[in-house]
Amino acid sequence: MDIDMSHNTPTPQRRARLAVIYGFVSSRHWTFKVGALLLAAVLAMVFFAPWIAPYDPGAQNLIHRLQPPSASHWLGTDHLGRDVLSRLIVGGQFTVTVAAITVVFSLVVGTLIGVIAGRVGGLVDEVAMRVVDLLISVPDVVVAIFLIGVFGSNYFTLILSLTLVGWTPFARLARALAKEVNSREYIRAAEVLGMRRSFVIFRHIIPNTIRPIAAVSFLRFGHKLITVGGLSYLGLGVQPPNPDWGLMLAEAQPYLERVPLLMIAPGAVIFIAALSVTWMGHGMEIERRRTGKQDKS
Amino acid sequence: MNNQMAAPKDRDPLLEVRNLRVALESGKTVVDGLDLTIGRREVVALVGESGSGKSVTALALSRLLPDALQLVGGSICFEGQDIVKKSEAELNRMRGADISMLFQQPQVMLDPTARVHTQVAEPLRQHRGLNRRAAFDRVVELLHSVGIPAPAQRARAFSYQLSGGMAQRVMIAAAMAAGPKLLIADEPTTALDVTVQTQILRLLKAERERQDLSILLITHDLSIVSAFADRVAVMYAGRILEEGPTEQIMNRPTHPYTRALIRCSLLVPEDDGRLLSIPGSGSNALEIKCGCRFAPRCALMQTHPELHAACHGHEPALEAVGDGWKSRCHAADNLQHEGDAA
Repeated sequence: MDIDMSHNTPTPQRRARLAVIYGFVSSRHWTFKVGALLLAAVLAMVFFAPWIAPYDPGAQNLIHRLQPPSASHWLGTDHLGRDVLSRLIVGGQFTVTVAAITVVFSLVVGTLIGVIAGRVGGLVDEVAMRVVDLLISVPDVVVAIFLIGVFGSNYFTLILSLTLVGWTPFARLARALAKEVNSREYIRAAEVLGMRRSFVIFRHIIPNTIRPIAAVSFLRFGHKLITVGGLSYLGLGVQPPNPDWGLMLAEAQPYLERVPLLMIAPGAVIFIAALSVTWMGHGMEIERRRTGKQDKS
Repeated sequence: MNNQMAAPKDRDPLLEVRNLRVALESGKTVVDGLDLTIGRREVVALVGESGSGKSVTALALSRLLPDALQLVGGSICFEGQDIVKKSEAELNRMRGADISMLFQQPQVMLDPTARVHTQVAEPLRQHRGLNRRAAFDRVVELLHSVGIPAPAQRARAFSYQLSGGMAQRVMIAAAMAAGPKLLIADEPTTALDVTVQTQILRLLKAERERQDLSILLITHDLSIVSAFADRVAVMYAGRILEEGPTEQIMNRPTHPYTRALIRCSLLVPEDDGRLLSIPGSGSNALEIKCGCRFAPRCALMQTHPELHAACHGHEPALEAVGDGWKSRCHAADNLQHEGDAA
């Protein structure tokens, strides 16, 4: 009930905001906290990659190829004598960036279409949902392979092809949630006061649907990481000699029996990155279910 | 000449509902030929049991019926314009600006994700075109005028931080923000504490004085009606059974149903020591196609067998029994005289 009125002095307010963030994190399920820590580590690694990578990820040293882990090369070297650790650190950039941008685009497009379909209903709803049905039956990897074949492999093509199919789960969820929120009394109250459709959608419906959607977006982010990794593995993402997790998996394949670490290391990193966001999303869902139960009792 | 021109216009009712009919998609009629007039600065109470069509009438007046219900006939004249014929855009300009509504459960009427001031400011920004800052200042004034302490702080609160009475005050502020001429209050105090009820009603009365407001009060609480309303319309099975000035109807009801309602609400034990209840329920009354819809439950008819033929034979019309006082009962005149005698 206490409302901070000291908005003229920024310091207490900033402190209050930090307290809110701290409160948000500390009241979550443990999976959310661990996931958030892991994700923070992955993002920091990706973001600061050029500064923390011990070697140039492209520098070859054919004399010291396929070496086991040592003090100078913590994770050993690959078939061209490049430092595996450095390639891992730098190799996340492409995958994480593409996955993140794709999820944000999918989230925005899917939520808007879903909420509008759920709110307006009728023919708009019908058409939007049939389009979703149609797209959901097409695997995103197939769309990506097709578009990369036409436009070549770059950030734009990958993001476009993954967004093209990626918005559909968001639209489905947003529509279902919007339908539910739409039957709430405060929507009636807004209508009675003659509020515009856009106002009702942006001010009332989206804020009340966004939490479950945010939880799902974390799960989708993990999913996209794996998809992008898979595309790179197929040679449709980053082109050699640039490092990438999926590509490293592909390159390590011939040496699987001699140096299994070459494959285990990038696989583990993809796994940890995907796990971190999945756990965050999972933690948020658990929280939602728990509060949902409290509301009912 | 000018005076003569102005005088009748002033006496023009603010809202005139004629033969309003609302039906379910299946064709079942819910509101059946309702007539209702609300004058300027008048408080009209619409009373009746659950399922009598009170709330449906309220929603029909602002043309916000749920999908399952349809307005199938009649006219709703508001300041000379027929609301039934208006387009959705025209209706949106009217809602909140000319006609506002208040509901039963204030806390669920407020969006849990929005602060109080954004919700009260909605009609101001939309209908009065105020910018964010001006709207906020006005909201603080409004919250102050509806008796919310520390309005500048409360304006930044969320709905779950408010008590029921506070939330209803906020809803009143939102409903009154754009200066409407008619407020439809659908059981505004039913969910509130008795002490808070009085405060809210007093507040509504004050708002009426302050801004020339007419109020359509929908309720089943007759004690509120007698304290608050100028006129009462008693609704049963989608129809008005009796309508007239509050004082006269409360003292000398001319319809057996009104009588029974008043006696029920007094909570005085009958001779046998039990509280009175009207036998049966009104939910099937809509299916009665011939005769008076209240006849199967009518106490008067049971004690006066000679009425059987008339009451089951044809439905009585809503006929004048006094000045601005109408009743839909074959025995209305007798009842009135009986009341005079008593």
